[in-house]
Amino acid sequence: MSNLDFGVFMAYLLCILSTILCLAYGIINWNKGKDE
Amino acid sequence: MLLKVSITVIYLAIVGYLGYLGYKHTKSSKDYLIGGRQIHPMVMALSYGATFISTSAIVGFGGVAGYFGMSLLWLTFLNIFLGIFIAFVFFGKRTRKMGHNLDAHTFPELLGKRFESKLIQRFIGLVIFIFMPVYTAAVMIGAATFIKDNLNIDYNAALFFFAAIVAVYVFFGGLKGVMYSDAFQGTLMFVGMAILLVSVYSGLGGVSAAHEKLKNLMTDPVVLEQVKAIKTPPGFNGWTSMPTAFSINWWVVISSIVLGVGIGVLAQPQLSVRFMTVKSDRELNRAIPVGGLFILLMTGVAFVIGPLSNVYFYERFGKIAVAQAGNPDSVIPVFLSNFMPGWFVAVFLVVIVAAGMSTISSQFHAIGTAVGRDIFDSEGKDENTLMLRSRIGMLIAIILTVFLAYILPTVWNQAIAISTGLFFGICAAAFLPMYVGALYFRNMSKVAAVSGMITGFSASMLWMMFFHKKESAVLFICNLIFKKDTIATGVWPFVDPIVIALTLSIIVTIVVSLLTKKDIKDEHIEACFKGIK
Repeated sequence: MSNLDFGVFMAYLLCILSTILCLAYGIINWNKGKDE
Repeated sequence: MLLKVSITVIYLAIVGYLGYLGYKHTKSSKDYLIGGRQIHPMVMALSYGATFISTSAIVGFGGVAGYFGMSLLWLTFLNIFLGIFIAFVFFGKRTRKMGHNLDAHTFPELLGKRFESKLIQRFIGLVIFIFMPVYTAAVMIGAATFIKDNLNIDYNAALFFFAAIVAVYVFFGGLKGVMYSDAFQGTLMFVGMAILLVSVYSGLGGVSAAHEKLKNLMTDPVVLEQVKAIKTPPGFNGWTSMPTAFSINWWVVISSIVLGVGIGVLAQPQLSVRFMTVKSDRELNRAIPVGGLFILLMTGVAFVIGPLSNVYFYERFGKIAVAQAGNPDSVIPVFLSNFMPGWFVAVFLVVIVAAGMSTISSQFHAIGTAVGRDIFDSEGKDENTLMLRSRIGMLIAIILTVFLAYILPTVWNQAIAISTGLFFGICAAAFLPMYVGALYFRNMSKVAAVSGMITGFSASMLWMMFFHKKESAVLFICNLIFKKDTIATGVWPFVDPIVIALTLSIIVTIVVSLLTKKDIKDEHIEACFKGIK
């Protein structure tokens, strides 16, 4: 990873972090939001 | 060849069965249009992702990444963060609830009913009907070309069978048929891309070693010569670096590729309707992890494989990817056929067909429902009439798209290259400010919504016709009037329409909203926002 320049490294990192955010949000709210 | 044909036949049989399953489960126009609001979260997430990612996202943009480098990963970040997280959490939940409150079955109907405006509903319906078939035809051409090259069958035959199979399961199965087969196709894409990622990195000795080799390519004078020879725009600093800020290369990567597609996805009618297919917010919460992972494995892998293919090509042929393949569109197919085992090429053929089919089926559905429900008045019509009208609309969409897919490569080949960006750009500029206003601003007036929509659409079209060289050179109107491809100079011909048109559309929407009185009754606003905290 260190072979990537800063701008590309940040993009690479943010892709992984935003995926983790999606996973965490889904798991935390797994049973929330159900509508009788 | 026998393996490729066998895998393709098995795949088509499964898609056919899922289309039949959709047909069996479709009893009403609500089923046909929004899956009866009872779709499973996993199916919804995979369907959203598979619709989002077409053949052009994997093959086209993967090849473009081989040309511009890993800076395209900023688009993957936007695809995951905006296209999944923000879209589901901040747009999806309110869209689902408001759609339910207003009994809306399509994206144009949702916005039309929210602002009590038939004009808005018809205008969005017309934009879908006029501009989406070109985008659909482009995806179809990409998939048919890939089939032709891999199965050695005639292009016209490939196109006909491809369209016929999609047409049957969309026409009879409705959105349930589309989403069931999307989920299967999405799963295939997921597995195929995961195998590709592992194969490519391990073939270069691991992640760090692969990046090291890619970075070192730029120290080779032969490579630098080839980069010049393939006319890489000024500002390119290598496949592991960002382009020089505000250079032509930077404007193309950041404004056209990253922002153009990254923001455009938020106002795509065929994606927004997916939010209305689930019964509660809980299903949306459960769909988010699958959606995020799916997009990471689609565009994330394509934008890493594309640049890394340069190392493979250079080590074997002494040429970088685009120089060896001939053009960005051929990079991924040529890479696969040269460096991947035969069984994987056969599997990946089905992955590409699945990516195309899942996107096209949703586009057919969106165009059909625009004709059946949005362009013509649907009030007071009974269930059967509405369903029949949607099916006729879909048939018109299919015939129109197939006609375009036959005719475009022979008369106006360049239209294919601009179609995706053109549709995404128009949708974002014309619909996004109004969509945000509809979901979040109770006091936004109908006049403001219409003004923003017309401004965004007009600015988008004008910028494409006279300023943004990629489209203006193809549309040729500027050339007829001014005898040149663009009237802009400096970096402006490379600034994407979305930057200009969306900014203007947002400003007009806000200013008109502040200057005009609220023109929608409080009771209607209360009904729209019922249950929305």
